[in-house]
Amino acid sequence: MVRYILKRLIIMIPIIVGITLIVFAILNYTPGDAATLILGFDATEASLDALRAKLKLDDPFMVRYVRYLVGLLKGDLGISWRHNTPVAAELMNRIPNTLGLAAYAVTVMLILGIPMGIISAVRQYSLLDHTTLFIALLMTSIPTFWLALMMMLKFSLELGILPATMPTSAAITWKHWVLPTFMCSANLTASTVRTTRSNMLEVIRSDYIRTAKSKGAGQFRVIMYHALRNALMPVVTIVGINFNVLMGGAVITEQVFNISGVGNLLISSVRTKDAPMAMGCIIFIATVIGIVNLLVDLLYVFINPRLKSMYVRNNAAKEES
Amino acid sequence: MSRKTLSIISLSLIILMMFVTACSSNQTAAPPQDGSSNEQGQETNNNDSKEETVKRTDLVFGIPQDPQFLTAGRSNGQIPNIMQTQLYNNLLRTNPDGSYSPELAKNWEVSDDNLTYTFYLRDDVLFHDGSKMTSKDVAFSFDYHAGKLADYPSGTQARSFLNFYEETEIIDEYTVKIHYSKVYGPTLSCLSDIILGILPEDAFLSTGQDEFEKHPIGTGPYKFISKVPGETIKMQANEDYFDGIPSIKDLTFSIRLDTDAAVIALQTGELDFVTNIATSYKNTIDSDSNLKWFMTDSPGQGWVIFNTGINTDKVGSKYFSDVRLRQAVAYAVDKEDINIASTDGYGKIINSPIPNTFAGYTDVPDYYTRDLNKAEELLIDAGYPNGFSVNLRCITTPTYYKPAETLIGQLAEIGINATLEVLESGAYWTSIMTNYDYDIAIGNYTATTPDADIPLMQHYYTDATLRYTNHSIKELDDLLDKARSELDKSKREEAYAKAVEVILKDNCLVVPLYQFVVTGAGNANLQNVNASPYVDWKISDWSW
Repeated sequence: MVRYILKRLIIMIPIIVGITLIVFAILNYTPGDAATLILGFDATEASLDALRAKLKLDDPFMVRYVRYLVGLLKGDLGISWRHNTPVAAELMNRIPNTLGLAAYAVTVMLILGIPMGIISAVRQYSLLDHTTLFIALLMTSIPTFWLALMMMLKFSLELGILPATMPTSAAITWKHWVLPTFMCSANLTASTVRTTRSNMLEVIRSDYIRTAKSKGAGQFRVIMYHALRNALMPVVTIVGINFNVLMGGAVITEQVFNISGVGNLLISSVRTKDAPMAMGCIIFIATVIGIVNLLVDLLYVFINPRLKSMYVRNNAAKEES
Repeated sequence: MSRKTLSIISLSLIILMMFVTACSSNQTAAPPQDGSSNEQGQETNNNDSKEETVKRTDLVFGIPQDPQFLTAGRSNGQIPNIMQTQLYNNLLRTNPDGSYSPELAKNWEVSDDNLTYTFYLRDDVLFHDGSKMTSKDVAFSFDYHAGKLADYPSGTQARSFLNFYEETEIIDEYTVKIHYSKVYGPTLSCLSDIILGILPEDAFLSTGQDEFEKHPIGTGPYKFISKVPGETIKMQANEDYFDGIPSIKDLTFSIRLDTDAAVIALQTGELDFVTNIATSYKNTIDSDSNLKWFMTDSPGQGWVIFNTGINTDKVGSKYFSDVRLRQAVAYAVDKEDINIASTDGYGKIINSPIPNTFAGYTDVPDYYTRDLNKAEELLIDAGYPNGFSVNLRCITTPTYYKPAETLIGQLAEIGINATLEVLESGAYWTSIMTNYDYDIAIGNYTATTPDADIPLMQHYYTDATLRYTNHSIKELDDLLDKARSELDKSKREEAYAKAVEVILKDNCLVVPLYQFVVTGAGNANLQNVNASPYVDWKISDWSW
């Protein structure tokens, strides 16, 4: 198992390197001269050249890319072109907010989505089932930024019970997280409900559930112990995919709610062509996605021990050969 | 059967619920006289009566983008202007009527040859670090801005406001003589431009430009406290300010990329003021009794620009190198419609590339009053009876793409099939100022010194800084040279009127469209807020 995790971690390295190459190339070959963007359009040619020399912008693309990679290996993400501060420090300030929001959203999604999916499946075609499905359909269809603004209008402006955006001077309280969390999780919860429900329905109808019921196990035990565990597999995938969607979606959420996060930083650095900062943000997002995918795969094994035996057998076979 | 009925009932109930919720949130967004917003009003009023005993002294000010630099002169633009207004002072300032008032200088004299300006400085001005502002700081600041310091040879963006600047001679601690190499009409006007702030020599040189930027120091009404890139800039009232201590003590600038959310935050009181918001929000703000809308004419202008390639080594547009096709576009443009689309009609239609409040401005006729027949004749004349297809370039900000969208429809009327190409700003600037690989685009500019010399020299002189239209016209250069060194008002105006004729009537380098408005919205309890053409909100005058 440890070998498997290590292998997966090692595979992540070329993936991340590949991503850095693509992003570095995009930032490099899209029009717009970095020195001019930093110094402004009326900067003299001499000062532009001086800056290009300082940032070593005149070197060939591959030279600069390899230099960047070497720096990256040493843990050096470089200095932001626009703000003249270390990229790593700016990122560290914002990572807790981005990861925090994603964690809150996933928690809400699990707490609400799975039980609602189960209840919907068990009480198929009931009023509750229809209501849940209808809301779930609505939440998957509504664009989140629009939903966010509507929520702000309702809960912040009209009812005045929740703050609309993150404060700039006062401390951030749990209230500030309610709307962003809701907005992030609305879509995810809906898809979790739908997946849980359809898988539960399938499992409930299978023979072994009938067997469990006929041997006299209670309804609750049958559902929670026998059925849920098998119905959960695809749900775990959904959680993993959604976490990744959350990372990308942070760009919108953070902008709307004025959250000091990686997504917000990414937008502003792309807009100003602050290449080191944009690279830092993307490397962070790519790494998180890689790790979450790994965790999801490990969770499979935990939920379904059959998979574990598969890995072990594979490894054993390799060692023999 | 019963299941089916139940589900239908439940569905319709939910739809009803959604409908009701949607309606109520709409109401809060728009009309003034609905119950919920009145309630809100009362709530806020209650808060106010509580607060009357302890008056608020803080302010959260929403800005749409992060100013790149805070050091005086290093960034030019509306948002940097707001920052520099709080942090720095000029020697003098321009009043709305065009006269000058003292600021760091008590008074001044101009030599008979108009080449030397003597300024007598106040002796009671302190920098934020406690040091005294004296002649040597003024001399240092101008040398720095103009690029006369060996360590900073490119100076700052304020350089273009120090044309013909030679040196600053220190007469005594509080007297300086500023020497110019040539007579320059708008000298005083330029010296009063927000961007030419006075910096502390010792503090700057002891740390250098990069470190100074991290903790900028000026003489202004607010001291810099801290900055989180892309998020907030905090300032505090300067208790030693020579021109009255500000009533707002804690000032926070909050960068808000999403305008919709910023307006909601304004309504809930999380923001106290938002600057530069689109005129389409005016109704929302006006309908909320707790908020107030501020608006005034801006000298900012939007134009259609062409890649002309006149007498330059960069090839112009395949189509718009031909003046007849540029004129055809000019005849096809409906400025009224573009103004409505871009500013909801609050802006003004313009015929001159010189803003109408600037020295040197005179009324010029609309050389190309809308006339589709003439436009079509010109097209036939130029060999395109069936029109042609081009790309119309603009940036992602509304001041660019809104006029562009309307223009496309107008061009279609004469058979020019234009496709909108919205670029990131970096790509756009490279395209229209370096590579000249565009045909037609939307351009705009906001000058902050009220003199015709600035906008015209920036765009139309050979090798100008912002040479969008890719041209070099000797006659125009001569006229601009003549006008800038002319001191007689009517002769200057005459020269500028002629220059405008060359730009528009003879060459049709651009099509002036409309003039912007300066906008802001804030808490109705804020006192003494005034919109100014240069967006330099003077927060030190405000109070709760």
